Amino acid sequence: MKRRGFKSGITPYLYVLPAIVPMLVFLYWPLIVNFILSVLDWNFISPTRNFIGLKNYTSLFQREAFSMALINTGKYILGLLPWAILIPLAISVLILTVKNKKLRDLYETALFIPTVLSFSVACFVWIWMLTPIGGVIATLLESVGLRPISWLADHRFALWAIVIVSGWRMLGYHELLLGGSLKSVPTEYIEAATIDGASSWRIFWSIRFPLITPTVFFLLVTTAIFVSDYVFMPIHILTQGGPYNASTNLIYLVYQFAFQFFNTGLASATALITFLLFVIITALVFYFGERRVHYGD
Amino acid sequence: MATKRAVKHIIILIAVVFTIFPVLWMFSTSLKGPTEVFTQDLNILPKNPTVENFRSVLQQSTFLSWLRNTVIIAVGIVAFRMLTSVLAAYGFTFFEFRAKNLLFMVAVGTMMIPFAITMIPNYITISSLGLLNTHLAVILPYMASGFGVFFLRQYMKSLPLALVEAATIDGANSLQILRLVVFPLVKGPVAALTVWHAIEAWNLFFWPMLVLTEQSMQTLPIAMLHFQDPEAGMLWGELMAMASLISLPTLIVYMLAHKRIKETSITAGIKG
Repeated sequence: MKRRGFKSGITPYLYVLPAIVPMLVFLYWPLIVNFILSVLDWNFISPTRNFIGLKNYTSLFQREAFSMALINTGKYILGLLPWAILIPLAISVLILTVKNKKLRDLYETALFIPTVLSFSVACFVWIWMLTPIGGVIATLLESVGLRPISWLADHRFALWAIVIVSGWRMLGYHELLLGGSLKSVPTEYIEAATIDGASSWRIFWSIRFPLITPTVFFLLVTTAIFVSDYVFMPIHILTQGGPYNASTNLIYLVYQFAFQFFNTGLASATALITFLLFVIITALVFYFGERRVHYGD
Repeated sequence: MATKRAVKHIIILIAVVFTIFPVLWMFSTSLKGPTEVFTQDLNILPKNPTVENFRSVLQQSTFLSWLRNTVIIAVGIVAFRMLTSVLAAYGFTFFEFRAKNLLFMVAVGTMMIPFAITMIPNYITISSLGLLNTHLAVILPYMASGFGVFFLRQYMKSLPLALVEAATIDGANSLQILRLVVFPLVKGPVAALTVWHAIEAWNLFFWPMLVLTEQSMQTLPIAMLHFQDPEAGMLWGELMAMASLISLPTLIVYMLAHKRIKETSITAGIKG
């Protein structure tokens, strides 16, 4: 069928190009520039840009900061998976069974508040709460007889503090997405199973969960890819990647190489490796996850 | 059964308290005097509420510049994004043209490009245009939104084609049809998207931090970094007052339009 619409000519381009041109300039062109910068030795201002081939890449693999960032990138993804999927899923299942609609909306509205709050503002509030002297968490720990922890200055805790702050912000949004898809499961299925005497545990795993696997799968993919972008801001505000790179990740390293050490070559090489890594992770998640996803009819 | 239900509500409430406690604590600290900030008892409601912190934040000569910069940048970004998104969504919905599918993929594909890849090249572009420390420096890379185009097209696709055809027969040109026929029918989604983009623009942090290095040109979220002084110690009361002032507009908008915002964000999430 010939689709709806006007006769074409140049008019449709006049409508779409105001959006497309800035996208090409500020989102696609950078992909090319980034690749070129990664094979040059440059510092943002010097008039000479020397071609050095893959030296930036080989130099990266000899740096401890890079291997730390690589390992931490994995830790962040694994650390945030429960916050991205397990906890919000559990909560949305519980909220779904709340009979009072007003109360249900109230719960969801409250859980969603961190999403509309500025993340940078939230990060400062968390620094205040995590402060070992006078911070609310230290005070709580002391009141039960535990010693306060310097979360952000201790290499064992810094990364996990950032995971908690990021998880705190992610939780309500993902609860909303999972709750939305749980609500779209047809009630007839649930009623039929209840009449047949199935337990609510059984109903969840045999009916609800298979029907929401597309959303779960989607969150799995986006978490794997976007967590690194997501923790960028808390890393910068809470720890600047420290102490001794204990909480840095690949994307924060890009920022440091570029805007603290003014080494555009190392920075772009790191950015490109990160991008490729995410393409590989996405491919793997699709390869192993897709076959378990139930897309319905 | 009753205990089971109680346990359920308690678990949900723990999550809710965990979620909103930092927000409450922010407002609470902002209203406390310097001595009460560091007491051992955790009062959510300050014993001696004071607006001293707010006064000292607002008295800073630069606060009004920060506020002005944030508003100008947010308004600029929202205006450009809405204009480009409405036009493009209209173009992609009601026209047939050769590069249509390709260009639509280009628009939607932008959502998969990470910030890490774009930050250095865009910084070079902006600085070579001599735009560092201007409002335009922040606005330009955010002029268009792949999500905006996608979101509005979803709604325009559902409009009956007959409306547009009837107007064409009456001799209206395509811009008139957009203005008089299509736009009034998608006002709701346009409003929702405007709010969504406004909250996003208000909260922008990393890109503005890179291109706005002069203190008088900065926006409110970045200006928070100036309260972080490891030598003198943190001014928690003032910092939390500043945090509250930044959060209030978005929280108020959220309270008024939470239904719309939640709906938009579900679409934003599903899109990828």
